[in-house]
Amino acid sequence: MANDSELVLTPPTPVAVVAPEKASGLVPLDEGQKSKLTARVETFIGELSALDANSPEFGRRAEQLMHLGHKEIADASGHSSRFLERPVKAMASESSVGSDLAALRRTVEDLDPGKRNLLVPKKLFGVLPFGDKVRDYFDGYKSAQSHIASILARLASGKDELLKDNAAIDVERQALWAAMQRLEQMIHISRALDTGLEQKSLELDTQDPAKARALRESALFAIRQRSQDLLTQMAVSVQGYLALDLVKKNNIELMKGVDRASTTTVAALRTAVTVAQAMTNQKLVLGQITALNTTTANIIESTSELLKTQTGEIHKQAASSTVPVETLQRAFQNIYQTMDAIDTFKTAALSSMKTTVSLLSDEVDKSKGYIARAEGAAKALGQGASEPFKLTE
Amino acid sequence: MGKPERLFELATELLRQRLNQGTQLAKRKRKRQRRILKRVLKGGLIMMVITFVIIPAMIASGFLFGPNGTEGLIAAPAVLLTAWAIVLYWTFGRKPRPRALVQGDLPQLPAYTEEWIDEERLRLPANAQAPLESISQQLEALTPQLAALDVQTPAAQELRRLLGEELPELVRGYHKVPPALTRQPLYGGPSPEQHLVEGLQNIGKQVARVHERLAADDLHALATHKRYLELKYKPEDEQE
Repeated sequence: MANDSELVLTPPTPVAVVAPEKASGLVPLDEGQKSKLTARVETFIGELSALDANSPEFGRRAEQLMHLGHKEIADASGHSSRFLERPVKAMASESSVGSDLAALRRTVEDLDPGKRNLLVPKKLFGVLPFGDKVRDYFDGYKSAQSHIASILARLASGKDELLKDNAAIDVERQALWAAMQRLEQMIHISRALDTGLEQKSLELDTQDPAKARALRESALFAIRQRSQDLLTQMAVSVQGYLALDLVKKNNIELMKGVDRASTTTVAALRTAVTVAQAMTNQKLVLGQITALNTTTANIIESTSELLKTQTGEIHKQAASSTVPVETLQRAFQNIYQTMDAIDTFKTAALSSMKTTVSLLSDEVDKSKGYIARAEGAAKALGQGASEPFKLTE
Repeated sequence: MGKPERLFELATELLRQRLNQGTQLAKRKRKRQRRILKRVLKGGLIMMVITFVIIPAMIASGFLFGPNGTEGLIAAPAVLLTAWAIVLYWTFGRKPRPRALVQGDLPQLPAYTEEWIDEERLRLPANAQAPLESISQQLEALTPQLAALDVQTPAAQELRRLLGEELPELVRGYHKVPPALTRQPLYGGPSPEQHLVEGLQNIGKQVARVHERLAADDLHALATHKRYLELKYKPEDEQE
């Protein structure tokens, strides 16, 4: 029975802050890409240092560095508002599934054989006048079945919502990954520019000190500032990427919980049908639940197998056991255990989600400041300027 | 898939696109012609109605208030001609003004702008025709998406600014340059004509980018739904 395979739902651990210095390198670039980018950087430095340091062309080239990766940053930050929405939405959808589970629990508790002393076995067995009470008890199932069926249907649609959420997260993570790869390329370019320009200005120190100073003051200064912006955005994106994974795992666990809650409930109702037959020798017809069995089994592909074997066992036990009520009681215990496991999971998951959201929104705010500054710089320069390091798809 | 099949598929796709592009161009041309024809018909109809109203009115007034003499004989054609002139001016003389573009409803923005571009086309140099055509094409493609777009979204406002203000300003600026100077390089750099062409190209690219951005949401939604179906109905061992 389900007792043997106890439901364990592990809440995901909150996402830790990623420091900008450690943000790069998490998305790997292959060597071919790296060497291509480095070659472009070398050409750029060669061309820049060949220009007259006072010419407008030199100024224009140096300014280009100021909005290096502007598009990549804007692109990646476009995702950040979306991945902040996700965990918040997940917390809300959890509460809708949560209310359905609570409703299910209330309904199931009303049917709990343990709460009615008429089902205390010793008193019951062999004493016929009590039979009516037992019949009344099983009649309760008939009136409750439509309610339970509607709750289970709601839970199934809640699970669909969680699935949709996960599908959206998968797509979003794919887009974010692509954006991060482009950011990583830009970071590689900015690092190569940093070392290249440093080297070049050292070389020029003796031959052409004026140009060396111009390189340091305009180009190197701009690129260092830009590197910081790129790294900050990268850190936020990495964190968002991990946060999306957290939401996804959370949803998966919750779906497992919903599955198990539905399965155990259906199993308990089936047990009740068998037990009723054994005890009152009457067929308890739960038409809606039987109809639901087929649909539920379809929805819960993964657990339908479990349900099948369980029912077989229940059948055997209830038919052979001298105490069928105990079997029924155990079926109810299963439901409770599942719900308790979900409750514990939800409390833990909620707190880890909250931690992640507050950390992430701090980081996003920080990066927004950088982006606003970069945006301003780009506006001042005019967008028409050509981009020397434009990435191709 | 084998290489020949892949090549064949690519070729088919290319051919289909080309054909499609051709029909698109022809379609736009037809549309433009239809628009002009519609305007001519509308003007003609109004002129006819006016003629049929003014002449009987003149005759009737002659019967009612007695003959008008020579003044009446001169006044009748004069009134008629003035009315015709006004109708002709309204149908052909009036140009779509850029100001109307800003206030125009968002879904009508591409149509308005296209009309405006058609008017301007003849007064702009040959080099500018290609970027103008590409803007027209972009606008054509944008129309269905704009119908569903909220006016308050940043993309909508951006398009409005781009097509309603920045594009007319560029063209206005070019018109202000004396014709003799349009091909002379400025400060040893590009000529005003080149400025115009590059400006138009930039606007075309930006429209394309906005278009891409608008399409991104739909692409995203489609990809998400496909993934959802995969998660829900595909057996776990087949999922990637």
